[in-house]
Amino acid sequence: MSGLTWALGTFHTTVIGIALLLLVYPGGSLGTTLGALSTITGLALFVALWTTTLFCTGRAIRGVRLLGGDRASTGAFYRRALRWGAVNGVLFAIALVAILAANALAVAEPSVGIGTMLAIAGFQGTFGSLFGLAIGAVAGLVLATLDLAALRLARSLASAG
Amino acid sequence: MDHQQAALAIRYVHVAAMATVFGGAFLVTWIAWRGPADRIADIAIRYEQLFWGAAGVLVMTGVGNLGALGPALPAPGSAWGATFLTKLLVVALLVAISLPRSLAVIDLAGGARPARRALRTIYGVTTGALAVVVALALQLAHG
Repeated sequence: MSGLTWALGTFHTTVIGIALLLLVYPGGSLGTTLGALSTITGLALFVALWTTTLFCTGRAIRGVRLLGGDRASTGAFYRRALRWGAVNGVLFAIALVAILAANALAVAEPSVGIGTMLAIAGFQGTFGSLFGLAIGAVAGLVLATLDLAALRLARSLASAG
Repeated sequence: MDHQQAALAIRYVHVAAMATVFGGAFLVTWIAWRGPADRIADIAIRYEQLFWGAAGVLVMTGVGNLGALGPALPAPGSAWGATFLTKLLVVALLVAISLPRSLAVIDLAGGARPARRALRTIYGVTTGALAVVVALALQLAHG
């Protein structure tokens, strides 16, 4: 993995994490929401988000020259951000449903049917993916705007050296 | 591992990651002022790799710390809540200034000319922002 993918992908993950905290905490329900998740489930969800975001960021910037001369056009960068943001949204939605289903299976009573739980997870995964696709595409465009602003600032800093 | 042990382990990793980014930023700032000019770009690149790994771990374990408090998490209207929101905003600012810093370092590392002046400034600002985050974290833990 290149240093650029590592920096941009982790930047995207931390921005999503901090933005969610800033949105949910003022409402007062953050403690109850997080308290309902087990520690392992919470960590697994964050690792899943980090992994899918690194993968999609790497694919989005592959072959694109962001630093130095002959830089990619802004339009091409936004198109890739839209596409791979949507893919990231779908991948994370699938991971979210899979992790929550695994957690539910681990703590379920023996009388609960595994087939029923898997059918519900499949249903949630299908609809969750559609939401993930839309939210991921929008998030991709927002994050691409932040990336381009950071790249402009970085060039100013480098040239001031 | 029970709930308390898990919470302690998460807090330990959180503090260790913060010590890594804060100590590292202080060290790189010092090297940018006093260290060998030909080594600074390599050291800065290594720090950036470490910084983003630690940043991800800090957000992950930070959420874990909040989860450990569960419903006992203080309300946003409390003094603790105001300090926590301030810390979140400072962390957001730190992350926002860190991406251009990392990209500038990657760009500078590819060039031949030394860039000590720019590195002194950007790592000085990073160290200052991290010091504010540490002060706010101390207030949340012990205030």
